[in-house]
Amino acid sequence: MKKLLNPIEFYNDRKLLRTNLVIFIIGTLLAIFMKAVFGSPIDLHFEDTLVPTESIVGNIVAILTMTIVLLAAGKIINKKTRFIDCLNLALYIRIPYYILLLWNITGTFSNMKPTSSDDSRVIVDLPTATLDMIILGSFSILAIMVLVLKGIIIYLSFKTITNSKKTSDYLILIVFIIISIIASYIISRYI
Amino acid sequence: MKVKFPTHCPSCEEVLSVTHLQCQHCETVVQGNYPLPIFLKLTPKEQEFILQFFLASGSLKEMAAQQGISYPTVRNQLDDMIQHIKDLKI
Repeated sequence: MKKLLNPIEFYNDRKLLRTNLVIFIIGTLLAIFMKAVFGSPIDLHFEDTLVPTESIVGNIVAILTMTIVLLAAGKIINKKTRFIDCLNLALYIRIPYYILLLWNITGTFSNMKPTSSDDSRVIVDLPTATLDMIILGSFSILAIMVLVLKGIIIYLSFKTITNSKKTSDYLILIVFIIISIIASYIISRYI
Repeated sequence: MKVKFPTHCPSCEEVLSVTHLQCQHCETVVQGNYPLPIFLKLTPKEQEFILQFFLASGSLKEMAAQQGISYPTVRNQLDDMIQHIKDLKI
């Protein structure tokens, strides 16, 4: 469990990067087929049609912004912070999101895509089938769990990457993460 | 049985010094007040780290591979030790 929550503490950086890149390719392909788009490092939404470019670009932008944020915050705290460790962490924390993608296997979320009516009203077709309700409910619980898990992984791994010991170190990271969420959302909207 | 080398006073926790040395061959005794070298003031774990660092020719990557942990973890241990030694020197 400890190794899963903080792989950077235990595994060789290059081996971890190779594994993360393989998972990244599988996850991106899965995102394409599940019609998923990542708007920011914490955003995940589903489209009603296949949008391969948006799925790929969204995932890459989310990873790169997170890497830059971790590196920038890390360099402020400890000058010895390395790019490869930040990239590994940014890639690794995507894994729980790839698991979440499977919840759209029946197309529940794609079918809920809001549409605009003639009088500018936004219409959302909410599911009524029992299976869809189960999918929606379980997704909500799992999404919260994934966010908590991401927080724990970032906290533990960032501690290893930068050798942080003070509360102010984590405050720097939190501020940078908030900036990254806003920045990557803006970037992915304009690419 | 491996006896633990005491570096701190069990009563007040201050660093101990050497006041008594004895030749095991002729039993000559030397008395004085000698401070412990920095290396002996470190914890056994830290002393072991220095030994492993030396045996790995100063390569943190090799140490990490030998111990089955990552490079940043070993580097953090080294950084913590450097800080500890700096504190001891003050």
